[in-house]
Amino acid sequence: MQIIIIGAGEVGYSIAEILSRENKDVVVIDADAARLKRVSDGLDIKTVCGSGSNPKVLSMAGLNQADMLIAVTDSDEVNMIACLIAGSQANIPVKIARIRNPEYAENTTILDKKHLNIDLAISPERAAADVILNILAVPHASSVAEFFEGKVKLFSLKVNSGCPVIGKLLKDLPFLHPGSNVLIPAICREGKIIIPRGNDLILEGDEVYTITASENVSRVISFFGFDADKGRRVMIAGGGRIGHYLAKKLEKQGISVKIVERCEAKCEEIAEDLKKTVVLNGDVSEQDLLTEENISNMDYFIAVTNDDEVNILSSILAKQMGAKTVITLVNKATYIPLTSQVGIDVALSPRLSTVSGILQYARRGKILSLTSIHEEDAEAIEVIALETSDIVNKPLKDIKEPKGAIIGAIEREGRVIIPKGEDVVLPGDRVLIFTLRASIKDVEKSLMVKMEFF
Amino acid sequence: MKILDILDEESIITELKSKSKKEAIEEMAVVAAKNDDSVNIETLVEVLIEREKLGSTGIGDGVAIPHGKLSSIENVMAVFARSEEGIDFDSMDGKNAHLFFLLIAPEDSAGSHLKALARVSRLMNDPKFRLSLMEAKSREEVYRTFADEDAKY
Repeated sequence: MQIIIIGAGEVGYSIAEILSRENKDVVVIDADAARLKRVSDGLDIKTVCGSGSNPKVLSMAGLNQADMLIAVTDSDEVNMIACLIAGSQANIPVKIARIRNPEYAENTTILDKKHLNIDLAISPERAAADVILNILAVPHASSVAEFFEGKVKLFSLKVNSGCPVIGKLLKDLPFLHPGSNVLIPAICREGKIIIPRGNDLILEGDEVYTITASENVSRVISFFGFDADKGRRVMIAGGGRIGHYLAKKLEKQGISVKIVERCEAKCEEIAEDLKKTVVLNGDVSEQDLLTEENISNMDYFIAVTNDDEVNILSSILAKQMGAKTVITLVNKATYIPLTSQVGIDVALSPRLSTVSGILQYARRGKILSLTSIHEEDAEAIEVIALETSDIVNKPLKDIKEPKGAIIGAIEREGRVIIPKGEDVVLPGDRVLIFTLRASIKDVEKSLMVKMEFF
Repeated sequence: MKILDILDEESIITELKSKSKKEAIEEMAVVAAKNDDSVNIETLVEVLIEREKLGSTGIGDGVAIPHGKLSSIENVMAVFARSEEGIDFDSMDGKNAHLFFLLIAPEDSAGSHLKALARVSRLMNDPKFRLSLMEAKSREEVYRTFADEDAKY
């Protein structure tokens, strides 16, 4: 598969890294020679220097042979022009563009099939905000993803000291009994993801992933010894696109939101749009302001300014001053591993949620959604099971499933099944597969249709 | 089923210009559309690429049989193409494909498409037949190679 990526920033770089790791032929275009050098030095892939909206540059990058174009420069307009050229000049099958301005995606038909024909418009900021909203919906979870239109959730909980499941065998956990509709597909132990068996123990410090129907979520949380009540009080640092969008969604859920923004003009702008949210003009790394606004009463402190350092420092401060859970947006990939060491509960990178969306199009099979787990160590893939593929019409226990992959949920005619060994996937079912990175190739193979699929 | 029932001489490409899978599919779709007004090139390309995404039709030994259904056509039709140099078609054996047999079936075809697919797969499975297709000097000779095989059938 030949893929052209336009834009060698953080997002472009990580997409190039992941796709080239999967043996796709990747070419990266950027007008900035220094940024390109970072790509060619770091990743050993072909680069072309020039503007991604220039037809000649695109031709040099092999536009005619390409199967996919991913335009992720900082400019929405360059990205859209690149897709337009790719469609009109070379009829590229898949076109993906980073579109940050929500006006393009929401208020016009410009992206649809008749016009630019963009398959996926990604907004890293919006994606990150949606990830935060998912996390807020499952108290104490450090990562949450939704599948089958929200009917099924995959989330992870950290096993802290005093947690009642410590030292228990998986098969002895009361909430895993047959018929409970709960499944543990993975445990993250000492930074490594493993797929556990019934005879594995749960240890202190583990991060346990759980798949369950959404109505079971609070029951599972309680079994882990956590309070299943959702947070009612949230403080957001940063009134930019993400902060504004988050506040708007949260106040609709009846959650009390305070938002701190340094720029006065911006404060006025968002205060006008938000109904119940308290908008504060000030510096979020000031202790006095945090004390005054009762930081110790906050269930969540969410730092989403456009400055990584401000986000991290204010999060540390908020945590120390008593905020229950702190969620921090971090753009620089190298900062992420540091965050857990300094007490940040959840660190998110906009890059990661973007990559998930793009990988969905790079994979074989009828894939409906794809979510990267624990950086990119594992994936949860939502697919349609097709006639003649290896996973249909036999009990799960008889599928020579790739090691390191597990079928976590099945949806048939609107009904959710958290499967056991005797269950059978039928053609047309929607299936949620949890797989380690090493097994992705084998999973793809098992989803492929045979020759006679017409 | 005879091959010549679905394959015209005009639907034979003796040497593909394309260098990639995507271009090869497009080049064959153009020929299919030229010989049948009811074929829309864009729709056909989309159908074929979508099918490839679910699993490559490159069956190995240098052979690919891309196929798909179109609601606009009445009968099963085919395009045959060759590439001396070969094209990376994501084939199962990892080797380039040299012989391409494109099959298009009407949406409601009751089994005739599967018969055609089975017949073509079996035929292309024969190493001697593949060799004679590769060695045929002209479009007429390729056509005759299929005709000879039909006579034996």
